[in-house]
Amino acid sequence: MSQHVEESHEDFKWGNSVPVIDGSGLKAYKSFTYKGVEYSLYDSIYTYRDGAKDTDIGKLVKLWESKKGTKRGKVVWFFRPSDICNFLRDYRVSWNELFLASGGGVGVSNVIPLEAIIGKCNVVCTAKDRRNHWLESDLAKANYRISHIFDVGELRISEKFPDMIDKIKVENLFNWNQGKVKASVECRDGLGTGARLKVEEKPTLTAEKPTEAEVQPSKKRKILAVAETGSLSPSQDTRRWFSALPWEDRVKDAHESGTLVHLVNLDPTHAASDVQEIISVAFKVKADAKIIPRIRSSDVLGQALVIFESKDDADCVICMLKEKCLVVGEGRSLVACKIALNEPGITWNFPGHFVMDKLKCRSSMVIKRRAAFTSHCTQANTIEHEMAMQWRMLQKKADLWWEALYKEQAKEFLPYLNQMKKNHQSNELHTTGMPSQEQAKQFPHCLSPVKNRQSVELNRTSLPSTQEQAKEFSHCLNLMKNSQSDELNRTTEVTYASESPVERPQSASHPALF
Amino acid sequence: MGSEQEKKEYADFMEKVKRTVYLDNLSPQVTDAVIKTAFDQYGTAISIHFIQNHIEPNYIGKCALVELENAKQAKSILEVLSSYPFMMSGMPRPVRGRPAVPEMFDDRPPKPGRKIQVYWVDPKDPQFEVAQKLKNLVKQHVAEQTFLQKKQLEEEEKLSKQQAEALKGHYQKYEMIDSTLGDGTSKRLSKCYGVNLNDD
Repeated sequence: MSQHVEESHEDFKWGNSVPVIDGSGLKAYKSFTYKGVEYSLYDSIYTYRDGAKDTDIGKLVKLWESKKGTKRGKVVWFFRPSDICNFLRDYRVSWNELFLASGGGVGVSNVIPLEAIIGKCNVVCTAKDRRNHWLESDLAKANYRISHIFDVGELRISEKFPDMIDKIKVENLFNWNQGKVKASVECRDGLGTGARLKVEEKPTLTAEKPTEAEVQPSKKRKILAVAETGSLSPSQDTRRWFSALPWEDRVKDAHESGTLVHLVNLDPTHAASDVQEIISVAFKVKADAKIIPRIRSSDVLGQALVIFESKDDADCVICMLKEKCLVVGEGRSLVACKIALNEPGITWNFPGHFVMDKLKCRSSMVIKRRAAFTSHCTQANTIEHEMAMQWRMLQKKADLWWEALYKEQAKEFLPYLNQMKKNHQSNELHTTGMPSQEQAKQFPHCLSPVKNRQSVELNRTSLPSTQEQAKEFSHCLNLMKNSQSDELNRTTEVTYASESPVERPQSASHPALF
Repeated sequence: MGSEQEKKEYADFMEKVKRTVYLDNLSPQVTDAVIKTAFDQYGTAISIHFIQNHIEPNYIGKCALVELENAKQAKSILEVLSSYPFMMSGMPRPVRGRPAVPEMFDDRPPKPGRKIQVYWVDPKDPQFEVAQKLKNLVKQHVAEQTFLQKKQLEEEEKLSKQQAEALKGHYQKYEMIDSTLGDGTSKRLSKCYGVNLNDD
């Protein structure tokens, strides 16, 4: 914990201080900046407890720094409806409603380390109280609204706001200053590229019955473990906060649950957000996408991994893309497939790096030794250097293979692309694309198994015969051979077993493709 | 306003690309710390991102994007990597470096001002046939790439094996020399042939 505070020290800056009367030696403040976001007193914030299903939301009511330099804040909590679902009785909660904690008892407020804050939340109070002012426009921008309190002592909700909540004047907890609220909204907007301020959380009223322990709100608030905060940062999209669950793990999960789809033939210049946009426009579903980095710049295909929210979505998309063609950008028709995920579990030897203890030798003349696990440049008079050169050669050769392959592929690919472009331009003169309603209509029916089979057959018949492919490919490999420079040919001739059509791994390595 | 911000973000990103180096042929054992210390004498690595490869089967080499303090450092590192075989966490397979390009970043911001055009082509559409052909071509290309990747891996393993053999041979040779020097055989032989073994 202390280590973490040091780490984030640079990210943290106090704002204006407030005079403290009680003489406790604490320094109180009105605002602070953490990870580029300014928080002031009475801002609503998100925090996260390790292992929790959802974030906690509260209002900062006090900010101070202790003598030791730890930064603390007092937070009055908002309850989510799911936290108190046993005490709602017949009250109907709206989907973005929260309840302000009040009354006496544990669970109203907590002192938290300020580093535990992961972002700003916009909560608007819509209470019917003369001290409260709010505008419809604020509500539209808000993430959440409150109109009721929840008394932790009496365990019930109420419309009547008391004058004091945890020694804080309730006026401060209302939308106490219109100007201030707006400022905080702007600040939130300005965090990133803006635009996509979506609330990810949906109310989980029906999620599950809480156990006895969970029913007591007092047990809920314990924010001491802040280990997570290192990787959390406020951003425009709540998805971004929890980079704690890295993409790799999500891909694995998605693969297991069948929501992972591999998209090929995107424009290589498209970014992940573009892919997401394409998906939402074409399929009307939400998905998370990441571009597969393109290592060699002559590759004409852009590829991406997409994680859909459900297996049905993923299957539907694959099916639709099989049955019809979705043309993106300058005329690329998208291909979707499931992939066999690369299992990184087993770490066998990296080809070209020798296991040292097997070859450990007493003789000081042999080059391999202590240097093994450090980084260094080779010296020209060693065996190591000679071997490294052999590797260099292979690397160069591989580069040439790839270049040749990509060149050939581009040659095949571009005529089609141009044709698509031409067709589309002439088409555009007559019609203006396909109406989106029709797409929506077609979405559900593509699930039917009959259609599925048809589309598969369609694919199979239109594939060129394997022999033809093999011929083409061996031609390609020949080209590669020819393109190798004389210098590279000095090494042992590389033989291509691939020239026999049997070796062609088409269906074996990529079954999902066909 | 929004596009201004986008433009700035993109410009920042392009700057980042310029001071970034792409490394491949890395051993799976290479970690952030290894790269950092390795480049210590040439520049300071600000951030290191390993590119995860989910698709290619059994591809065990690692790739990484290493962001340095400035473009000059990146250039000097690339010079070192290209002029000398550079070893990292093992040998004799050298690490290779290349200047990074935007497409290598999976988190790159969208290009400002781009317009994405998306439209469906039905089986009835005259364009459908071309689009379908293009799709099949793409599938074929992906398979070809997978195949070449496999081939490359095979070649790498072959070379590795070959080198291990050669090394073993060298090792045995040295072992033999060692033993002849040790058990006096060399002395007897030198006497027999009248050769002076001592350097002086």
